Amino acid sequence: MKRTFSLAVAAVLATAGSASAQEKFTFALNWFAVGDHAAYWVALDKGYYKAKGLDVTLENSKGSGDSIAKVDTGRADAGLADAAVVIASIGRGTTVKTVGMVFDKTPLNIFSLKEKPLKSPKDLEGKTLGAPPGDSQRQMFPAFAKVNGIDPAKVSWVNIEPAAKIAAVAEKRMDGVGDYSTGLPLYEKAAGKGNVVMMPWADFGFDMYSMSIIASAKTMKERPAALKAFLEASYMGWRDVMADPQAAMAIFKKRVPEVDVDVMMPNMMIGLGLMKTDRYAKNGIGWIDEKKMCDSVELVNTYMGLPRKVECKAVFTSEFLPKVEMPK
Amino acid sequence: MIKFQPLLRQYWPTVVLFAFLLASWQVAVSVGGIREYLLPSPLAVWNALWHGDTAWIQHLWVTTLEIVGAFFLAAGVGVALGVAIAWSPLVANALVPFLVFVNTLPKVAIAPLFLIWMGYGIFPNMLMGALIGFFPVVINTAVGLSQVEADMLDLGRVFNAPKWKIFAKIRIPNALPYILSALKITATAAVVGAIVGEFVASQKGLGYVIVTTQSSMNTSVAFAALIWISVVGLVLYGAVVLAARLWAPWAEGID
Repeated sequence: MKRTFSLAVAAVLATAGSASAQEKFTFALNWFAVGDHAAYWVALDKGYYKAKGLDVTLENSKGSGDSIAKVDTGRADAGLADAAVVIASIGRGTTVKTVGMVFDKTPLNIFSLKEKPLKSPKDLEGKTLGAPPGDSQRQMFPAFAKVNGIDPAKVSWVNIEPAAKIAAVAEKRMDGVGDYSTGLPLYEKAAGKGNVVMMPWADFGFDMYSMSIIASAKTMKERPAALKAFLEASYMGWRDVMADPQAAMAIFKKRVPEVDVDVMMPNMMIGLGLMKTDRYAKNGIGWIDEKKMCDSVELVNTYMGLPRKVECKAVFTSEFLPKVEMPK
Repeated sequence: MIKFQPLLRQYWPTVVLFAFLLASWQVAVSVGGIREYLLPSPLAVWNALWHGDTAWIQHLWVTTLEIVGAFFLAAGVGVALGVAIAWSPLVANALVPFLVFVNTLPKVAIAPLFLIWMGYGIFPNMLMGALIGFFPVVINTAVGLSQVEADMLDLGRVFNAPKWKIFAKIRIPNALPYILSALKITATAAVVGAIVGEFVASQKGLGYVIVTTQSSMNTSVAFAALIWISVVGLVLYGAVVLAARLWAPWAEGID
């Protein structure tokens, strides 16, 4: 009787001990499952978070605005969000900061159909483009227009629900849609391979940060060690994705069964292309370049009509960034 | 002639309620230090209404057109279907289950399909509002036309009135309060439907304003748009109440 009792106590203490060693950490993804989320699932599956004492929950969101709001109000400890939306949100009173980068090259792009292709900025004048609310292409369009000498007033924008945007262009309801270049496989699935035309903004002189990892002022102040650990484990996940994309996709599919591998695989590969840059090779995956960051802030300040100007320093910090080497 | 005394007596409690809510809202924001993008102060919303650079007239016009169009479409189709159902049991058996099925489909899910079939614009949104709002009218019309006092029907039979005359002289007047009561629901449903349509795809309208400003965290403008939407809804609802008073004054009701 006494033996079973002490065994039971020991068992309870043992489980209680291991439970308290794992800190809870919620990460708000920016959308439903897409290729560039694989890294975090890989880190989770391979136990990188657990090894650092983190019990991580990955949560879907409905866009950057949603993930930023989650992080800022404490419903999530860190999140994924588009830099333009992050900077604008800081101008409207949030206290989040970018603590690591995802894409190094800009994925901003406009999709159209082969029968009425929009290949260069000049083609856009007089056309109708669709974009979901909060879409970075929509919000940064005046900047893109200025860089390329076209009149933004000659381009009309229609608001469309994210679920409808691919169908909208495939069914020719509008001339083009603003969406990340990584979305190509999804558009090809709807419109047919070879029918989709892209206008990547990076090819037309537009350089700006996009997908990034953010954290709230609270997380940065009260849980710096946890944040550092999370970033390191996450970038280790990215490293593994770069080293063996096929294996990473298998893990992604295992953890998120709704993933359509035929579409997600090319989607993920295009995303990797935006990360295999010299900058990352030299400084580690996710490194934030101060000049590019401040240029991005200036673009938002100039073109997004915020109530107050945003200071570059207020937007990011590299103090939590680990240096995870890119695989050769 | 508008009598002020009874009007005052009826409406002062709600004015007090609104004033109290407004005051608590302002206090909560000022004292609680809530961030503007989460909950703007009433003052910020007021500024967005009158001093901002949103083209309110343009958006109001588009959305109002959609709502009013949806309302009349729903009313017309709803009454027609209700009459058909009350007139013929065969039609009733065929139509009612089908209409129930259509009504249970979540319109939010159908809306993207509307975009593909019909494109975006005022008419698809009108259709969406009508789709949400027509069902109560059908049911209430059918009920109002069928649930007539037996004495009245007997009276018609005594005079050898043909079926259509009984319909016109007895059933339809009997149904009016039912129909008007359903139209109050349709008024709000038309608003919901028009906005759902605009959320899915739009270039103008109050729903368009909400969805674009919300995503850039410009919440005070989104709130201002919400206020305009409720104004339109209230005016439409008030119009139905007025119509009820004019055309079916014998029916008592909460309005």
